Amino acid sequence: MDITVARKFRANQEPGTGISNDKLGMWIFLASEVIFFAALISVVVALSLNPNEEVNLFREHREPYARKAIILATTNTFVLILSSVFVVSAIDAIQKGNQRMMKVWLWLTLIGGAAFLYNQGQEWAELSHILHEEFGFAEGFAGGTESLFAAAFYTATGFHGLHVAIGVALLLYVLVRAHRGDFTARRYNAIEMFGLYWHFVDLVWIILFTILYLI
Amino acid sequence: MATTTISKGLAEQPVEHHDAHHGGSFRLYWVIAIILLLATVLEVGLASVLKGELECVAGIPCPPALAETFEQSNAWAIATISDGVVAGSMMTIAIVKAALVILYYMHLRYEKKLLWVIFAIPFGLVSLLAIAMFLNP
Amino acid sequence: MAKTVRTFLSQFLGRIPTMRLGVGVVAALVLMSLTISITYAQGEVPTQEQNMAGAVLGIFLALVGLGMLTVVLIGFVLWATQTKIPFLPQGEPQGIARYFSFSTDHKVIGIQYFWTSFAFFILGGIMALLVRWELALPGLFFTTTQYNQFFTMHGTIMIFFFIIPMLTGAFGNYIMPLQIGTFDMAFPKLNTLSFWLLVPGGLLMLASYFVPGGTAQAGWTAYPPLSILASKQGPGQLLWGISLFIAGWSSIVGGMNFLVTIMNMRTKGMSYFRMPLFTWNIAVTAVLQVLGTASFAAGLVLQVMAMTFDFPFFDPVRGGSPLLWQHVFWFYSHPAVYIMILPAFGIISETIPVFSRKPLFGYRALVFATCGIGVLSFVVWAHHMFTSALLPQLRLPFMLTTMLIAIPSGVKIFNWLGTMAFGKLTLNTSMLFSLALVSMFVIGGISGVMMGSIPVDIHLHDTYFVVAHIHYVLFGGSAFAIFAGIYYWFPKMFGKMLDERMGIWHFWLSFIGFNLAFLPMHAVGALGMPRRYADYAPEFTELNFVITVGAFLLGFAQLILVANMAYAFAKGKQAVDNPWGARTLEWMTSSPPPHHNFEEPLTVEHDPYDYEWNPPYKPLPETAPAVGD
Repeated sequence: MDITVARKFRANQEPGTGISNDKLGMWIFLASEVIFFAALISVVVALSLNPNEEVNLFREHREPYARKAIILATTNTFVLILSSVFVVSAIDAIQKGNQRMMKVWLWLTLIGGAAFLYNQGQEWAELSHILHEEFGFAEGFAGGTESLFAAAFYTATGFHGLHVAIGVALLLYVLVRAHRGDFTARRYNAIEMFGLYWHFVDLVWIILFTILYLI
Repeated sequence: MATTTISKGLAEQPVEHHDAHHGGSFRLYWVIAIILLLATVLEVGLASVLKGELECVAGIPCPPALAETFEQSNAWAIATISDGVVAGSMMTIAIVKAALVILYYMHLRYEKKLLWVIFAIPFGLVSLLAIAMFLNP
Repeated sequence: MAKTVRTFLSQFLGRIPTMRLGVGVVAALVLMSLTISITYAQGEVPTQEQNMAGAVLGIFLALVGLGMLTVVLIGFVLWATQTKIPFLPQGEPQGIARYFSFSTDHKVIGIQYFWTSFAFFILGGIMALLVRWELALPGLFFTTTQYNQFFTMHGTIMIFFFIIPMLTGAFGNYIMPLQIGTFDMAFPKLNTLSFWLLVPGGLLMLASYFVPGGTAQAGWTAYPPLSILASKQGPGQLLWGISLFIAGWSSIVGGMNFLVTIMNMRTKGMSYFRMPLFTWNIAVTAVLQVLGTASFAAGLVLQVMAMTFDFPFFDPVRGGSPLLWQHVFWFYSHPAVYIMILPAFGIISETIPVFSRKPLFGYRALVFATCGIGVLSFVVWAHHMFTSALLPQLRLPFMLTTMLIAIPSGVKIFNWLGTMAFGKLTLNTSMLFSLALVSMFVIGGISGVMMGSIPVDIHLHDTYFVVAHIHYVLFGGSAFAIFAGIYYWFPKMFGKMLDERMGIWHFWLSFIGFNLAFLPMHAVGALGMPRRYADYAPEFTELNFVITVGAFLLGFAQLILVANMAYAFAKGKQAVDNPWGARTLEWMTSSPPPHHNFEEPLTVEHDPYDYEWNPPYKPLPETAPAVGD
């Protein structure tokens, strides 16, 4: 797209929303993600509320697992919260023109994201192991066949983990650009958009963690 | 609203100027981070006491001195406090945490009202769906 | 060493002219045939593991294609290391080649959507004719499994690969930026992604024809446990779910693009209340797409997990509930039907003023009615579940909201009639189809209101009455509007005029065939003939035969449109800028428009429907004495 042509048209537009295209687009996209995760989580909660005692083994299957894995899960929550504040600190750093600290914070975010994914894998292994030990279910995803809790757990955390993984990929892109010196105190749009996505993923985990482990 | 057009990469569009006072400060972000971490500990601790599914605190078994007290409060809590109240208090803490992330980290507090509307609508919609599903006979 | 590797890789990338010619499609096609052959080699009925492996392989290959993945990975590495890629000096593809490339021009993408949707229209139509062939006479011609597959694919293809992409992807993409006077969409590359996500979605759906066990067969509604059972016959049902998951993201990305474009990129003078109704309808549709489709995605995720790993989400014996799928599915699929009708309303809100040479009656009322429909569409979904095990107390609120949502649609009908009253009508093909929509949609709307009443629905649910209703609103509504839009905007999009005489034949044969096919369905449905059954009681024979005749007439009438388009490309008259004398911005530029849509940016000073019109009656005197004074 020819930039002079674009400029010419943009100079002749109605005032619009006053919000940049990128930001507006990202928030609208996040709105659809809210529906996706909220629908998924609502189904999980609805399943756990099944009044038929005989088949509702949700809590029964969760208890031994939660007992063992709550430290890991809480650590994961810490990791994600910290990675969120790392991103915000990176933006703060570049706003003040500090290229070096921005990169440091971004790298720390990456470590946080990777740590989260690793821990999530550990949690899955733990769940699979405990279900096998306590209830004699098959190992791995096959445990989800017998246990509704496991199925819900794997699906919900799996799709959340997928979003974290996508976030890590996006972060790689941002990091490359950061190292190239693309960002200045007045131009750091990509980090901000990445930040919005990353905070959203953190947000979903906060809710998911509460529902899956604590309620 | 002052806008400038920039010619490189994604930023081929009007960009809002960020003033120095536009949004929170470095200190504020870290204070909120501490609050979030403490709130998480509170959540998990409360859940341990109120539900009896977890060990003393966050899965760590109690030191012998506290074990007696913990068991008694645990038993009392399970007997007196209903499931609904427990769920309610957990969700309230979670929602407060989520709100802090949305308002300060995602900057919504300082953004135009349109974005508030865009983000709030799906929650409203999905609660309708959730309610209909929870009332499943 | 690193430098040599990088140079080699950059030259490898530079030498692939196919990068511009949609390598993904070619790679995906080749590799999907591979997947299908592998699945076949596994034997008649694959095991669960083979199903899963086949599906995963299928998605991976369909979406990514070995070539594309390599290109993307190499490209990322080269970009990161800032190596230059020496593309061959071939420039942008020209002519037909553009439509097979990753163009970011919304007009090219609109046309890509147009032909893709049209092709699926033909396929979906063939499915319908197979259904009607079975139902022409009592007794079984095909097997029941085949019959189930026919109506499943008919519904799925028509909804997700014809109506929604044609209305939003083709017309929305092409016309909306022109109508608001801008040069492209807010996110041109996302627009490209949106179309190229539809392609693998469509390919996966097509692939399901070739796998053992055949296509999906649980209806477009895919209720578990039927769908879970169907998935054990072969990978078809699973491919169905994955295909729609991918196509859904196409819809969400598109909707997001439309909203940002409309909110931020209107040209000077184009305030919200100067936007044409088509743009308003696309805007509300985009909101529905963004918010609703994600719910369907969540449901599909759960179903896919249930099919591949046997997760018990919908199995009551293990603690699941089939009703949860219905909630999550209809929460999207009800707004989806409004996604299918609102742009249709938008199209005829454009054609009726033009061909009555009169301003649109009640512009603001139409805008508010559109927004009202958008809002209400999210609170009526459980009217599809009146006879499911829905909590009885929940049924009444949904009945009320369902009755309510008929009101804004009624407002629209009256406004269109008001537009035509005292106007100077031009009854060309586009106008005829628009008029047909007004009348046919009233019929479809009324049958809908009837079924919105719980006691009536209890008898009519899952009968042919429902089939009559949906086809009156979807064919008599959406499809007729699509035809109206084609006859109206074909000159703008392709620069050629369609032949009017062939158009009139197309219209009358379609209109007669349509009513012959779907009107009797009200009767057989009310008399008790169930839907989705491959056979029926002998007393329904005569009417079913008539319906089949009508359906075949309707089907073959569409060939006239195909011939008309072919003729237009070969020998059609060149179109001028504004063949209809309309006042919306897309007509203020050449046919087709130049690359940046307009030579110079426009400033709007007039309303979109300000035709010169002198009322043929005398207005009342200002100072009439009040009665009883």
